[in-house]
Amino acid sequence: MILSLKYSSTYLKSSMCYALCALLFALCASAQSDVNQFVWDQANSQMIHASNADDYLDAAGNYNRLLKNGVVNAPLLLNMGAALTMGGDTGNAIASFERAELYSGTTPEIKCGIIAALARQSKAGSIELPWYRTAFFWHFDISTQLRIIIALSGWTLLWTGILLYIIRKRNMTHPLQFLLTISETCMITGALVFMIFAASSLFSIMQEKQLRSRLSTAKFTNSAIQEMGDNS
Amino acid sequence: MYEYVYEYEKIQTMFKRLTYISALLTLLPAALLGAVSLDVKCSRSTVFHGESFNLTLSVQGADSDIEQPDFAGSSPAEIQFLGSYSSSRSSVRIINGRVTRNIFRGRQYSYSIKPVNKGVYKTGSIAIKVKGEVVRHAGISVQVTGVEQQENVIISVQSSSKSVLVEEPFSITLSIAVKDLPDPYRKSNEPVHPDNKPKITADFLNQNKVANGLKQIEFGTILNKLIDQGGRKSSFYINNHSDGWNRPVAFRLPCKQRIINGKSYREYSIRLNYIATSEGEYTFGPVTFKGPIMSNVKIRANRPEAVFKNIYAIGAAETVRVIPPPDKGRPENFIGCVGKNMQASAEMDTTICKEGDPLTLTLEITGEVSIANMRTPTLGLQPELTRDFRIYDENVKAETLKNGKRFTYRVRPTKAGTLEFPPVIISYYNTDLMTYKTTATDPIPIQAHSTTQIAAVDNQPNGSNGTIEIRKTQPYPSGITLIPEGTQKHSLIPCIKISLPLLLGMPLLVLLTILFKPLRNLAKRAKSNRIRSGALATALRLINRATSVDALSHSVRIYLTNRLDLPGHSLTGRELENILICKGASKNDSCEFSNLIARLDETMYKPGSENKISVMKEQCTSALHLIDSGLHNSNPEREESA
Repeated sequence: MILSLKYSSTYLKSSMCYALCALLFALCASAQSDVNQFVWDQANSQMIHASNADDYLDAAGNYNRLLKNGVVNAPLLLNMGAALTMGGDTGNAIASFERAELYSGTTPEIKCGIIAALARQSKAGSIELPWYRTAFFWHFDISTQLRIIIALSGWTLLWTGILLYIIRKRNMTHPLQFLLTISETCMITGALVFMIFAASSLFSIMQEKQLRSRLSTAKFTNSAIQEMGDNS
Repeated sequence: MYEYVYEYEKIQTMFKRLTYISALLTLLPAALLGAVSLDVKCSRSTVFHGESFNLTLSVQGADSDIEQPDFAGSSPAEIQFLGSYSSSRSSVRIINGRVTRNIFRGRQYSYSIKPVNKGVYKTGSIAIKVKGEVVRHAGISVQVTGVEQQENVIISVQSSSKSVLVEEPFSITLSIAVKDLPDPYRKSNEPVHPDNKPKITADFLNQNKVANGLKQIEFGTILNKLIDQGGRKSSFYINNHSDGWNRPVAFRLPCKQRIINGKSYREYSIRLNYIATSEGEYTFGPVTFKGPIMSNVKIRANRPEAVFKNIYAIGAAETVRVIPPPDKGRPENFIGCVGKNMQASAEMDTTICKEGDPLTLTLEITGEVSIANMRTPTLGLQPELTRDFRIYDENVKAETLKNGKRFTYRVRPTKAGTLEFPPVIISYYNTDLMTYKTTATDPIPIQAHSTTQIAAVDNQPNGSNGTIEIRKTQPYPSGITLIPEGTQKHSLIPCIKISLPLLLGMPLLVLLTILFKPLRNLAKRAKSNRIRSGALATALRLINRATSVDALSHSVRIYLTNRLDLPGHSLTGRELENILICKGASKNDSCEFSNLIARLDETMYKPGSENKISVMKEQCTSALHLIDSGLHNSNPEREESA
């Protein structure tokens, strides 16, 4: 009896400990979410009321704070890109827009942002986007997540073709010529889709890694002023 | 030199003055005399006797203080006033900030005129008094053609309403009343013979001859339902409707009996539905009837025979006026639309800009409304819109949508700061409520920054004042997004629930397909090994339990079946001996075992064999042990090949 009571009290203690830990974890997560929301609103407000390059760079700094907190998504990167462009830090602005592109694929806003940043960087009135963006449209227009899913679908298609080929081979006595045609089509299409999209996705993942490290260590400055300072 | 220049300037000034005076003298009478004018139009140039036509008087230059026109010089006719409506309109042009407002004043009067006599009808000089001043028009003429009077066929075209609004449905009913046969043939016979069909001709009974601004509703369906498939009914040919082989198609029109002027008639009628998409006057008819009808019955050789009569009849046309909504209570922002559930929405291409930046305002007007009559809303007329913004009304792009129109304006904020583009107010005429309704768009917040000062960098190459060179033509990034998803964590890689099945599903299936056959063989072999190794134990157990020689023999043969994977029941002693030798057992053991089997088979059929059962059991047990150890010691490969 005493043993069972002892056991039950130990069990109760450990359960309470777990529950407390879970509660603390939930509270922390909720607090972090509130902080992120506050920073997001603050950065947006700064962007709306910004009137000079420093204001825009402050807003960009707040957006970057969110990135450092682990928040990453296309709208955040797009806003950060816009803030950096207006703040004159065109190099990081392009990096931010390109990173946004990885998450959502190209949108008219991202294109507009890249053009604005490139135009400011090259100090030209108007600028065209590079040709390869049109040539490799699938890489830029489709988000990385979707490209991975397409690559995996191609992978599945390739294996479906192999499966049909095996089935057909086992039933050589039967006239299953159509199965061979289907299997060949599946294998070729699947392999092509897989190769194109897997390569593109891998490249994007590497690009994300590179851009993430660049933005996490970046110190936003107005490159136009900096250039003038260097010249003087 | 100075004097010459002075003289030259003097002459030039004089010449300019003379030009102005002559221009003034030329334009003054035209301005004074041509201020108000009268235009007269009629809906038809030729009518049949008994028909009426519509006369429209357009007064240009005035919308009020107009007295009723005087038709004193008109030929004898029944003149009916149908109504009047305003045709005034105004437009605003803003060029380089200069506002020019063009206003047109006018009013239209409509009359229905039915000439009394045949020949040429003349309206004579028409006089109208505008603001005390009489304006005259020489008048017009209309040819009135006579038609032979008959009472056998009476044709009428009637509309559900003489005047309708745009997008308001109305119907036209064509009725052809044919005089009935005398009694007693009247009840069971129609006056139109199935073999002698008359022909009806009317423009509005053709699907492809519908007037511009009119929309026929289900015309083809209505006519298709009326086709006389068998050709054995009293029916009519209509216009030149024919089938695929160019044979005329007859139409059986719904028929009912009717008394006209105390005489019995069969009335054939068809009703067509229309919707007018634009204002104007639409004439339906005239309708001609040509062909035989049965007018009487004669008895010849005790048999009744129909008496046919060829008839040519004309039915008067009907005119429907599609008029604009009433003048009374018309709001300033009325855009000419008629219908219901109109909605308006406005949006700017960006919400953050600089003072003076050109913005694109897209105004979408949708709903169940008449698009043909929709005018471009003049936003410059709304003073609250021009308070903080300059609107370029003259460069509006209009685009027709499925259920409305989209207008694109260029707008510039004239002030810096947080501005609000006020609601755009638009009015239309609601056909459900029969009143004007006003709708407004939502206001749009705009953040207009003050314009950046541009420094002349060329003059100060080092930018000593810290000014930044900004090129006006440099593009801006698009506006920021404020959606709450901005604080969410997204992953570049899809979730494992999707990716893992896609990655491993099919390869595993292929692997299973490849391994299926070897695995099946492996399982078979394992099972066979298990049976083989347990063969002796099973046989010994069965021997112990056996109570007869038959059961004993069965146990031994089961051993053979399990151990050697052979059909043990059908083997003879000689065959068994050979097989056992092949399987690796010694010759003596094999011989002894085959003898045992032979003995068992013999004993089974001998009387009193039950007494020897215990002896036989021992012999079988020892023989099985012997042969099993012999087989066990043999090479398994050899056993397998055997």
